[in-house]
Amino acid sequence: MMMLGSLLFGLLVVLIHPDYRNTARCMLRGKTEQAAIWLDNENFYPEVTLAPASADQEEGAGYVEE
Amino acid sequence: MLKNRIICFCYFYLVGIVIAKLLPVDSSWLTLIHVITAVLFIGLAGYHIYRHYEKKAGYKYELMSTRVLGWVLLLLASMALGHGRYTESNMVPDNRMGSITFGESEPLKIDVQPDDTCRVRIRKTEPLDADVRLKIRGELKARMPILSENGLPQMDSKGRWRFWIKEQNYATGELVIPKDDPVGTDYPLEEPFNRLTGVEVIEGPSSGGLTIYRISNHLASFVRLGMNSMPVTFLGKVSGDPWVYDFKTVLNLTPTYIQYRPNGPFFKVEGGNIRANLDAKVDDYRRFARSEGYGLDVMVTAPLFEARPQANPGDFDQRNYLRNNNIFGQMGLRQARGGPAPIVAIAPEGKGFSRGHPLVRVSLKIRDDMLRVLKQTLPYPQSAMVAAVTLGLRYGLANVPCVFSPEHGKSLLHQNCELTIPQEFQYTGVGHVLAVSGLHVTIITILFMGVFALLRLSKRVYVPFIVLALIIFAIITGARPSTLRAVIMNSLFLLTWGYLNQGLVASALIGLPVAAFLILIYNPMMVVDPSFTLSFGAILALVLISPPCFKLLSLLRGNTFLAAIIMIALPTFALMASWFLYTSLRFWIPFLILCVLLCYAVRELNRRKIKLFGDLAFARIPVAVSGLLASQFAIMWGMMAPLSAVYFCRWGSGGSYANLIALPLIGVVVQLGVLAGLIGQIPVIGPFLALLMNAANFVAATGFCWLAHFFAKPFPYALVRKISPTHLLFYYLLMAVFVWHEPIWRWMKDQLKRKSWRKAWGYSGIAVVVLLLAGAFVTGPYYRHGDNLDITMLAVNYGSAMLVETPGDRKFLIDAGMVEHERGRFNSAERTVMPFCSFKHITSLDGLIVMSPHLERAAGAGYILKYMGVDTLYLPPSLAGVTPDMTPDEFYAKILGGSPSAEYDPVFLQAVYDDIIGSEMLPRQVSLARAIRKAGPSFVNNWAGSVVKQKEVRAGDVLYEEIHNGKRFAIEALSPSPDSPAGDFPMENGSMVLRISYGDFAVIVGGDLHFDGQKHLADTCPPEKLAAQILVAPHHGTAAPVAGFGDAKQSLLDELDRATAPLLAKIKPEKVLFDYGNPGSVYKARTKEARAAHELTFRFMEDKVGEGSVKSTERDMALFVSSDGKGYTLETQAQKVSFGGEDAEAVSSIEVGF
Repeated sequence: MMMLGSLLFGLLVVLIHPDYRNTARCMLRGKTEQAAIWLDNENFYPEVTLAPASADQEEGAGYVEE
Repeated sequence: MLKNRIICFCYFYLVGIVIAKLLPVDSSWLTLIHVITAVLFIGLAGYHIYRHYEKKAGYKYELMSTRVLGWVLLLLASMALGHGRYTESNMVPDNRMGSITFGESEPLKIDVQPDDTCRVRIRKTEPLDADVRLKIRGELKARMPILSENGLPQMDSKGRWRFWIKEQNYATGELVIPKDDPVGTDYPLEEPFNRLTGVEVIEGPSSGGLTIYRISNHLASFVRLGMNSMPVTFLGKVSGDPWVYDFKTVLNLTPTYIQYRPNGPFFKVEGGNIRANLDAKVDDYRRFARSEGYGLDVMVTAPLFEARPQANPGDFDQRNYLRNNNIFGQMGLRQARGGPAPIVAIAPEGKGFSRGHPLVRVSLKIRDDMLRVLKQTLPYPQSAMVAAVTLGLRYGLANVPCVFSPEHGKSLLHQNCELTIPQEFQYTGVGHVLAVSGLHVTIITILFMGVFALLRLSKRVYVPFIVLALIIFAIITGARPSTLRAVIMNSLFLLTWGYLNQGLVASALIGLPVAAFLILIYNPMMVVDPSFTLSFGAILALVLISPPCFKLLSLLRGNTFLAAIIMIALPTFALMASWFLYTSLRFWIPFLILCVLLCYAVRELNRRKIKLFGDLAFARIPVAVSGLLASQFAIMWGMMAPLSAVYFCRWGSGGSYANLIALPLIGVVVQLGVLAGLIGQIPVIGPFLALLMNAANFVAATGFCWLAHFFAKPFPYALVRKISPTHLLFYYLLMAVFVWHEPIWRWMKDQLKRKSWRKAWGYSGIAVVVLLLAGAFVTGPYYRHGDNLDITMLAVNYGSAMLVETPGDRKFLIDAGMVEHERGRFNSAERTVMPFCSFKHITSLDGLIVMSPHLERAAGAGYILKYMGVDTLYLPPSLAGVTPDMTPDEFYAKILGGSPSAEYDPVFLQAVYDDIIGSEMLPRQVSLARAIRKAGPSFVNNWAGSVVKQKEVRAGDVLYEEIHNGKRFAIEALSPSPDSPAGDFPMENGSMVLRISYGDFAVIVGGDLHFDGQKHLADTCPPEKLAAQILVAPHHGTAAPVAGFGDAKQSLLDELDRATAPLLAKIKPEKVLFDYGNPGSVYKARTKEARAAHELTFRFMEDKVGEGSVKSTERDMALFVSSDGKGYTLETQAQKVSFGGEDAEAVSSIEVGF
């Protein structure tokens, strides 16, 4: 019940709040990186990005290259 | 019975730790303690084996003597275990290796050779009748890393560091041990050894001896003093989740091998971790500044230093706090331009970088994924708040302004607010929600139980999943003691409920001590950690105090209930009106009279059967609400109020009220946050569902922040006295009587019924006990100031704050330190001055003296007026009469004496205006003028007797004087006088200069007097008024002749000769004290000049009075002066906490051939 209630209430907030409307539109278009809410959090834990870095990009065989 | 034994074992383990803490023993006792513990456990095992065979033989009932023996063995064994565990965790003992005996053919006798490369020290263990000169010979198998082509250490494919060993035999340099050195003196040798082979005695006595110890390779023994000491190199791992800020990352590092000196051997580290601050400009910073940084193998080169201990009594002891968390060293990892990186990640041969423990890695990944969802679906700063309460990411919330701050832009509910979110939470008493603990863990447990119940799974199936989820949650949130306690307890409950069908209370009674035992067996130092004691205290309060509270409140019905509401409402209104009213007898005496009248009125109304409140009763309130009220009362008075006074010296008085709404609301925030974070991982539809849920959560989170914002205003964040252990004990005895009052009362009634002649004895006995307890309370170890004059100069970084305690026990505070509104938001008044006063049991002052408008003196004064009772405020003419309505031009004309000078930076003047008069942008920010107005005459202040008197101070005024033991004590002003020259620095030359005298002893406090003012004072003040044993240097020693220092070093020296030297010649001080620290917060762009001026002035003073006679709060921390009116003593906090020494050591001559 609580979950259903929160979903309905959340829908109301999305319809009313301009940043949420913008974010919903961007998410539907697949452009979350342009959403107002994501941009608002740009400097908050900036290392956590939309596309998590894959392990392959981080592994290095052998020793560290300077 | 087994359950009781387990519970008692766990609690007495805790008792053993407390005994070890209160009565610490030397490390030499450790072996004996271990032996005793082993014997007791063997005895305990023997007892249980005996009982087992007794039962087998058919003896069901145990002899009383055997039962007592069993209990005694159990309790003693657990106490010994706790004592030993704490003692070994608290110290890093060096092991005795052998001895040197003079007069023998083979003087060196080694009992135990070291098992690895180590250093040794020689201790003088008996008196010697001649000086000793000797050399120690030995073997060294120097461990050196095998380097790759790029010059970095290698690891093999199994992740082990690769070394080669260089063997050499050598002798140390000559060691001299003077015969006059006291027994017990240690002589550490710089040279490392693997084996000692001989000693060459060049000169020595004919008899006597020395003892040789192996210096432990614990990290603590490699730490140097000072951040600029010789760097060390270590090979190790990133062992904790990196904390990423916007300008640095904090890393937890575990060293495996450490190279103490350049080109020296690597030692194997025997414990201890390092906390390193990694600067964002270091090469490869991004590799470490994220969760994937956990688990990396690294090579690090930087100075390794110890955290600073308490700079002032009552301060937060960072050194101890870090040690309690197994952190024994700190590093600042910065990279010089063009220089090598201080930290480099190394990959094992043929493999990728190490990733750490798989469970931790997975947990951190889950956390990052949930954080990603939060960032997409919650605006900032609500995202920061929800991340803090659901994922434990508190450091992301540090310094985040209130949601209604102008920094977050205009919003529907925009108000100007200068506080940060954590501050508002703290002030309101809801700060506990930021510490992930039982509340959060229980919410998550209930959430998962609900989800699994919806799926109609058997509890035997889903209980292990919930336990695993809780473990992951603990890892995600940093595994603080409060979280661990909750996870262990909840897991025990789930397991006993799921598989043994036990109820909540039964599992709580055993879960709590077992959780405490498990946490303390791993790290006994946690016993005094606030996270541990507050968390356990809260549960104990809930379990023990809530039921009798609820029973008591359930008696309230009808007119009695109405009267109770009035009795709660009136003190609440008094609290909101003024903390000083709330703590004043002028309120409580009339209130108690009113209570008596109310009780009388209720009795009359009940007798006449008149029900003003109908049948309303506490018991009729819905159980969820009434239970919450009772538990709130229990936690507030059982844990929050007394322990907040012990740990924080503050009390968020709004907590009792705010938590009634905050607790249910935070349940919504945490559940929605966790659900949205998890559901957001579902491909395609997940992010949209998470958006809807967090849209609802946005309202809940904003509501929570608004709640804290709202309650922070009317309810004071009061300063309370730090209570003594005796008072705490007395308080909890009273609590115990309240908790068990029914059985106690039944027992007493039963005893008294037996024979009537015992009634008199019984009542008398009760009265005696009460009187004894009251006596203990009154005569307990209060802080009592003696008959001396005591002056404490607090270390408040670049700033001044000095507490003067007169022989007649009056308290004066001279200046109140700096307040930074940006950067680290450091408030010296709240962080240092007030905790120090609380530590001294001072919550009110006879006088607050502000010497000049300089922010490092005056900015904190508004906070002192707000939170401490002050009888009289003493101000110089430049500040007397300031009001919040003054315009900037009016204010500048006042503080500059009508002569504006080009020497003052407009930005600096604006900052002074904002802190003294008040910022227009932030109408609620504390300023001196606003605080003066609020503390002035008003109905509430007159009633409370808390009106602050103001006095303008000029040269010749006596601020205070008294006669004590036939000697005169006085605080007198020597400046400013009407003819004081303004010069180029009118603000400084208008500063107060004070003379504090007691009998034959005097201190001159130089204020901010600049050179013209110093010269004028030296020329015009009578010598008898200036003579003093101690001078507090004017202007922190940073006065410079012109605004830019540049190449005007000579002109500064000229001014010191022209103005300061004559002043010194008149004062003739034996000691000169500087209140000095990093001037960056005040001087900003001119910091370098200020430092240079201070260094020159410091050396000038050393030339005049002698090198050992000049002290500084920067180096020596707090300074303590005490005088009986004849002589005086000067001590430093650095001496008291054994901190300080040489910053750098000479490079060793030992090299191993590279």
